[in-house]
Amino acid sequence: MTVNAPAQTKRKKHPFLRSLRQQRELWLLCIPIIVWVAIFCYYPMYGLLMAFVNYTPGKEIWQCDFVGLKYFSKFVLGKEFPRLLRNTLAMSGLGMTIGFVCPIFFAFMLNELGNLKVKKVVQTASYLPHFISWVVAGAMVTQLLATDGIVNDFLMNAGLIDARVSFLQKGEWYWGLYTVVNIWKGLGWSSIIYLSAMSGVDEELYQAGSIDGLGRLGLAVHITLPTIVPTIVLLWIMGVGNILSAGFDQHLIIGNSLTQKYWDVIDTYSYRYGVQEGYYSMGTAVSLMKSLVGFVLVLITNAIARKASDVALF
Amino acid sequence: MFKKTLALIMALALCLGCVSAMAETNAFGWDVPEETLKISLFFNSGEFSTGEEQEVGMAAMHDYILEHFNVEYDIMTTDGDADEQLNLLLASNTYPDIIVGASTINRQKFVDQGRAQDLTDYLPAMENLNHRMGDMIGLYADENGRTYYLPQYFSNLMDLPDYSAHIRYDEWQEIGSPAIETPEDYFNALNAVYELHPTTAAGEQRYTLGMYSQGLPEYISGYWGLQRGWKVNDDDTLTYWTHTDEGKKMAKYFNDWWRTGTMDPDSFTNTWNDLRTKISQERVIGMIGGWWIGYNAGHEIWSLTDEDWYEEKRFIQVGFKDEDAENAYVTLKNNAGGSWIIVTDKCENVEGVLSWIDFILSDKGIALVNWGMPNEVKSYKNPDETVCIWELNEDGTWKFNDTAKQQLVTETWDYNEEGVFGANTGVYAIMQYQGRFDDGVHCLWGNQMWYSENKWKGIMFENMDGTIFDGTALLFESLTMDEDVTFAKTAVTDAWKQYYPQAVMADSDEAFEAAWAALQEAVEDAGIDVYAAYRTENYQYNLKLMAD
Repeated sequence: MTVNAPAQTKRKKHPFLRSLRQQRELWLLCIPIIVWVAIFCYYPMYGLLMAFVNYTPGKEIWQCDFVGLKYFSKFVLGKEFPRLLRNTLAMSGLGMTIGFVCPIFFAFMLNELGNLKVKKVVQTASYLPHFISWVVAGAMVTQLLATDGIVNDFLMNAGLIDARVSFLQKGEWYWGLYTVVNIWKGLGWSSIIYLSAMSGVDEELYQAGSIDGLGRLGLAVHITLPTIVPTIVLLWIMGVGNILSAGFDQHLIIGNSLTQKYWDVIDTYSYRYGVQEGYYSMGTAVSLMKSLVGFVLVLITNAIARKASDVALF
Repeated sequence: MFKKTLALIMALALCLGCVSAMAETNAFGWDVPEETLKISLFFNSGEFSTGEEQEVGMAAMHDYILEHFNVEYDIMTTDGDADEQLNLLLASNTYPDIIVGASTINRQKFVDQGRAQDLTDYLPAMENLNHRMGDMIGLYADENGRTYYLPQYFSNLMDLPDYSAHIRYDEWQEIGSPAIETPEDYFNALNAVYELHPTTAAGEQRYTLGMYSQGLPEYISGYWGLQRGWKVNDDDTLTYWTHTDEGKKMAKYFNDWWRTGTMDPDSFTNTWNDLRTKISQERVIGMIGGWWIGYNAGHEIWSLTDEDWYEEKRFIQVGFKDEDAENAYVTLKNNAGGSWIIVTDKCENVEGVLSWIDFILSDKGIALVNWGMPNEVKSYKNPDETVCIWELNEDGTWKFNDTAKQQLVTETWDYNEEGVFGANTGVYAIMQYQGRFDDGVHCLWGNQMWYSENKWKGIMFENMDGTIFDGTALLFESLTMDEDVTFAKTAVTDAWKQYYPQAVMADSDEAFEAAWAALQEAVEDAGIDVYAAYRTENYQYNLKLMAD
């Protein structure tokens, strides 16, 4: 009598290992990037410990005196904090509202252009400013708006003003100026992602809409807009995470002492004390606090977005 | 016999060895070492940039020093913020052997961490240093008598001003050469010129007064009797200008001026280059700042660009004093230095480095690293020709070149050509003695000699007499600044830069009073009490130190 040996039980492979094997080519492509991220993004994070010690350049972090939350409280309880926070939230708020909407509106306008040549020219011209560095862009702005600049020359010659206007010395105008310049510089580039989302809309939907009696505006509102809502929501969530970042280069170039009350933000403060004065602990504490707040805001916004629209970053 | 021969041969060999080991002394008086002396330094001067002729000169100077002195410079500079760069060098442990021009705060970091060499035992051998400094050398020792740093600049020409007001000489003559003895006289003179010439020849608007760097109130307050922005009280305590009657009087003076509408509207946002452009375009009738700005932006440009330029078309410096001021402390000299040289723990040949520093404090050493390479040097503008600033003979005798002297005295010296001599960037100087040589004539600046032969310098000294004082006790930062003090110092500076212009630009007396109150509040919030306490303690300590 022959007794068949029981069939050997196949060992179940771990899903990750299975994935590793099945997608090895993709993993090979990703590994250098993962290593790069690990080295340049995660490894340096140990430097965050500087925020909790009285760091002196030249000493190792562990050799410095532990001070706990001293620099966090020094910053938050400092006399300058309310002004810094006000300026930061004001300018990033303008960016999250007007600055966020403009590229969407611009994308819609571009999308409606019938003449492809004109569309291409306008689109290309619109994102050229993105490639100009803030040093050049800031210099252009200061030259244009200087007391003896072109804008003043034009207004004087046109009889619109009796005396030259010092645009760059009016602190109350700074937020608006910053927003306008930011929009000018980023409008075209930011609209690209919306345009690419719009280009994915099925033509048949537009045809169906036309048949149902929708005009151009109706098509835009009822077909195009719902299609790009997920893109808008995702970008909004990411934007909320940067709400405490309200520019840096622009302020150092366009701003001056007369408008500092309005342009001094958390990042410029952190640079002034943390980098220029060499108080790296203060700079690190401020940046860490900013990152934590942004991270929490992203989590909250993401949760709200998922509940409200089923669209979420993660 | 054999033993005698052997002894003779050994003695001869010993003598030959000694001769070959003895350094050769060059015409400068420097004992050229057999092994190349490396001078690796960080030049702590931000936004460092050079023109082409300076690049040529610096390279030539590097080779000259290597060839004639067997000293090799390796110079690190930055076109960004120098303190920021130095902090990064310190954090990354990549700083070189010598730091030239460290701030007091950064000096302290090196010393506290044991990264600054103890120079104490080397100092007695530095003959030139001791000769130039005298007793002042003791100022740099700590409480244990050890010295870890030296000043980058020390001593001064006590007749040379730093800051002054300016007026065009020809225009001042045109309005009758009125005496300018008070701030009101200055205001009246500039406005008188403005009434005659409200626009340039090209039809552009002119301004009675232009300023830069937010109006330099700490310096200009000297016209109202304050000393670099501080009121020195009878009990040797210090009060910051924002909380003094004198400071308010100064601000009101400029506010009244502002309200005439004739001041440059960009006075509080101008950088030096912005104002310089306006000056050279003749759009500014008067300005207050460094005494040299009238030269740099005025006739030194006009003499080259204006076909119809005449000698009187230039700015002259004017000194005046508020009637209530004891003195016009416009220029306060800090003879002990405000920036520092540190020989770091990375230097392996401290003795060699200090011997070089000592050499460049000798007459010929000062000439080399400040005037430039001696004898004929190829011209940058006309490569087929040569230029010369000073002459050195093989026997060590030297003199300033007669042609160069004449050009400097008549102010026809071509500063655009000066770079070829290799020294006008200052990078080779390391340490600079800013007083006169023992002959009482020469000094490190070619254009600050032979005043009696220079009409225009004569006018400057006559006008600025009584505005130059020794401010060493007030300005020399001998005590350590802790973190609270440095934060307060930065915050106070930020505060007045924002609020002082608002006071000057106020459009009514009520607005001025409100803006002045806001300035005071801002400075108080910034921590002026902490900063003032430090400055007072430092001042009183210096007074005691210098008395001892």
